[in-house]
Amino acid sequence: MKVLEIDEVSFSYEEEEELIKKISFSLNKNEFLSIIGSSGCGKSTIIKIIGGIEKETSGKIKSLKTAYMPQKDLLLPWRTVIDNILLPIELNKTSISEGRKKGKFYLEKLHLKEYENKLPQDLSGGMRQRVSFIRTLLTEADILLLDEPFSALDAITKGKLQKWLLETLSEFNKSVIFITHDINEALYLSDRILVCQNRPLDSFIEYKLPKVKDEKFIIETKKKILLNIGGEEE
Amino acid sequence: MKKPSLAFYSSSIFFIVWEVFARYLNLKFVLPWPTAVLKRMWELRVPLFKYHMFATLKIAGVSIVLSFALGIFLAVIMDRSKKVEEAIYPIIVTTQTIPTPAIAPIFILWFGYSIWSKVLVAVLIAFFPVTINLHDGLKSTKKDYIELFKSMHAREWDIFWKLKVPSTIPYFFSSLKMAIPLVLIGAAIGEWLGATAGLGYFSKRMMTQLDGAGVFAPIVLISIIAVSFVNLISYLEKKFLKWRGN
Repeated sequence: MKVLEIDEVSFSYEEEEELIKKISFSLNKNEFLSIIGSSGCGKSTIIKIIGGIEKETSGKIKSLKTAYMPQKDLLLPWRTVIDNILLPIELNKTSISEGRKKGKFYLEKLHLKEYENKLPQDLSGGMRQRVSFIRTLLTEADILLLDEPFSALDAITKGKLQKWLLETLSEFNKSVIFITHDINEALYLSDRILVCQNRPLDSFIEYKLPKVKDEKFIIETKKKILLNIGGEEE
Repeated sequence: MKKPSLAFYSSSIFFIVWEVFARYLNLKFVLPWPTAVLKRMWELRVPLFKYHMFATLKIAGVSIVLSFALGIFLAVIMDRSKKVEEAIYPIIVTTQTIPTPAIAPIFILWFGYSIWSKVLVAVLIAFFPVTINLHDGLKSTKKDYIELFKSMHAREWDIFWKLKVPSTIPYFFSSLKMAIPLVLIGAAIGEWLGATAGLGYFSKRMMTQLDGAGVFAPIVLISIIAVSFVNLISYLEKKFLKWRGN
């Protein structure tokens, strides 16, 4: 079942050249789709369009409810962890008491219960990203749009959070579009990868990935993707 | 025990040099020394503290409320509309090129010796840093946060109330710390030019009597009041803005 369909969507910032030109793709239920490409190729703009932050200049988007998680955690520094998590509930004017219950449940599940009343400044970078992720989950959206959420973290924390993300997603029945420029990350996490092509972005090269990926497959695919991007092998 | 700050040492040196130099000159009616000013303050304590201080505080209090009301209003409408910002920002800057002591007599013509002539002088001086600071505060909200709110389908009002206003609170405290001394100065200038009570008026009266220490006494009192209020605001800022460590 498709949860998102993008049909010939184009985008340009005011009075600037087109950044995205007639791209089309779709997302299946419970699928983890990564979009990778070099800096400035328009990959972040795609999910900003899907998330309603930017407006497409032409084309059609059919989608279930989406939630956007930015690169930086963007926790509001004056709010405690629980109040940060409840932000989407407040904004959508849904039941705060029910939201609070859910928020506490997620915090417990994701081992952050004891930080409920702390300010973001008291948390480590990894914890803050996890809180930001819970806030995204609490929007009750079907599709999570994750914009390089781990790019600002050190390698060890990043590795831990990638594992944690896969475990968490398997429990919560969500579809994901994940933006990254890290090929290893995309290969580790995804069911499918779209590699951005050309400027303006007008097409993708698609890679379908098996659930279990052996080392040989990963090395081969990585080589191919690097060639697509036009980069050097790491 | 807490070590005295560098400011304590520097101000102590300043007052000692002043005391020694003024005593050496021995022209008390022109340059009174600090201990003579304190002594005069004590002698004049009844009119100073019971009567004139409250007259000035009343003007300063009304002026700070009006400066913030005007500053908040202008900052918000400039934040809401780029066109309004372009239309009124230059006017706001121009108001600060007016030499206040020169225009204050006109206010006295308009409002007589009531508090409003003095309030107008104080507001004219103090609303400017309030407006500019709060305007900067509202503008300082990062685009990333606004995008995040939009992605959560936030209304404009929510973006303003739940994001922009809390982001501007530190700027609010800075404005308050700037505006408090300014309204006191404004009130004193207004009183100096035309009043029947207040620390500015009292200072002018002492001037006509060639009482140097008497001129300084209300000025020192204004400084003490300003420093005390600014310290109180700094304390409240630290207490309520713990998250600023972020």
